[in-house]
Amino acid sequence: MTENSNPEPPAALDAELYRDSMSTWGAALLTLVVIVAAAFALYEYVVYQYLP
Amino acid sequence: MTERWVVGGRGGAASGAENWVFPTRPDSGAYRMFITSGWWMLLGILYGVLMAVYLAYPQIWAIVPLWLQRFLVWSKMRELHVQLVLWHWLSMSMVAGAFFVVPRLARRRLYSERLAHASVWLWNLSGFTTWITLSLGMSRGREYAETILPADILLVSALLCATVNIVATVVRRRERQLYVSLWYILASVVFLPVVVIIGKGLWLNPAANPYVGVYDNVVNWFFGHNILGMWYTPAGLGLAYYLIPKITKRPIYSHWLSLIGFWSLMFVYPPVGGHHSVTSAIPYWLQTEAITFSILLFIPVFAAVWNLYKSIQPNTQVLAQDPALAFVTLGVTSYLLTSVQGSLMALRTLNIYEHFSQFVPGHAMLAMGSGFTAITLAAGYYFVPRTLGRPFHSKALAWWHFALFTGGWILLLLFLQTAGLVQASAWRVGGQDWMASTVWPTEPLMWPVAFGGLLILVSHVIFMYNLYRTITEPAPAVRTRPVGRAAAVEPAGTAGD
Repeated sequence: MTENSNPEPPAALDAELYRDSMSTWGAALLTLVVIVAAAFALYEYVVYQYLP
Repeated sequence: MTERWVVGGRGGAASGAENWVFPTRPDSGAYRMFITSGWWMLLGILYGVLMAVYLAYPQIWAIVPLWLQRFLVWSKMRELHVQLVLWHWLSMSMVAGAFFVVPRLARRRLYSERLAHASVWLWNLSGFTTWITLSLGMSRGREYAETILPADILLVSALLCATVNIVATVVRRRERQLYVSLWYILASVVFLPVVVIIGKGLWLNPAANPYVGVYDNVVNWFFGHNILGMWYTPAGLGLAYYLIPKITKRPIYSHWLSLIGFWSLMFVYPPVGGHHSVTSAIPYWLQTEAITFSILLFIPVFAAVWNLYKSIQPNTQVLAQDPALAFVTLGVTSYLLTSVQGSLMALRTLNIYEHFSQFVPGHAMLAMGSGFTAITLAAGYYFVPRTLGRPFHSKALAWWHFALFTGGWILLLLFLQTAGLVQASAWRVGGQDWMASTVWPTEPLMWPVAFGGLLILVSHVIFMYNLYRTITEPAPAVRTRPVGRAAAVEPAGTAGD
């Protein structure tokens, strides 16, 4: 039971440090869509729970 | 290969032209996720301390201003304490740890830092939504699953962003071997959205309780127990398996044993939720099945804990030198204690006695508060200096954090679980009303619980101050290493990677 394994190989990450797989617009759009969906759910909740 | 890791130029201080909302600096998502989770930790624990004071001295209610009373009703505080501490401190800090660890083990940068920041924003917004809606009494009334749909949408979306990010990073990895931390972290981020979506029944009846009667109980505890077993446990163990060898600079004791622990956990944990409903209306066979699997949990627990202890053993002197290792060891020890306790508590003879008493919240707090919180704090102590490129402001403050945190938890847990046994004894005797059997006899025991909670809160304030000073201090002298030769930054004055 003494087999070894290295938790982190001695190597670096990508050289292109700041290149991202997602555009700023993509991330912003994703976040906004979720926020709008949550806001709509909150509106629905308040309407059905509290308004006659 | 002209790009270099520059001390102080990574996750911490923003460089001039960087987009502040969705920066792409490596580790900036992990860093921001961890920093913002600290706020939820303080707020959630504050509710916990207030609750303990309330139990120690219920008359204090009389001096709470009327306008504040509506927000500090016991039931609201309990929900807020659990939700904020679990979903917005512990979950966020664990994801932060995963965002830091996964790229290093995969030898590939995180799939998308922007997506990580989308996760950070949504998670924090979910925290605010949870805080406001539960304070206003908008609750589903299901244990661990109290939040209403708007908060759920934000939380599940944040989770899915993190899951996609981590899975995509592993899929695109350059390291062929999956180290055990990756197994654990992958399992946790894949299981969690599944458990949340099924457990909350989001597609069935999003506006109210999706399940009814006995079904509600069964699904609720599938959810309630599996967020512990299939999220906090694997994510926490994944971080521990990374931190211990990195800090001690020695490989883990046994890779083989780590995989036995992982796969047995995956096999044994999912069906144990029914042990929360022993002697209830759920089918007897389901209770027996849950109890059986609860005892089988000894296998993954002992495999993981033995492996981690044996990994620390050759370097026990580091325990006195590095607060991060002290924290992770405390976390592993608490995990061992809570797991043994939990398995035994599932047995019918014991369950009949301690169920519904304060013994059970004490058990949950031993796991989440003392156990996995300690591991994520260790992760913070390890990765924040490496992200910022400078050591923590004060090691002495880190040790104070550790001392008060540990002392506070020992005090709190001893007295809270003793209070549970007192309540259970009173119920076995019978003949007393609710207040006489449940609240009045435990009042004296609740003062040490409140004091322990206060120590924990103070310890975290010290931690946040230390973190703040670390962030705001000017960067030390620049020391760079060419990318492609070695892993990133070695902050001056800290133990390097």
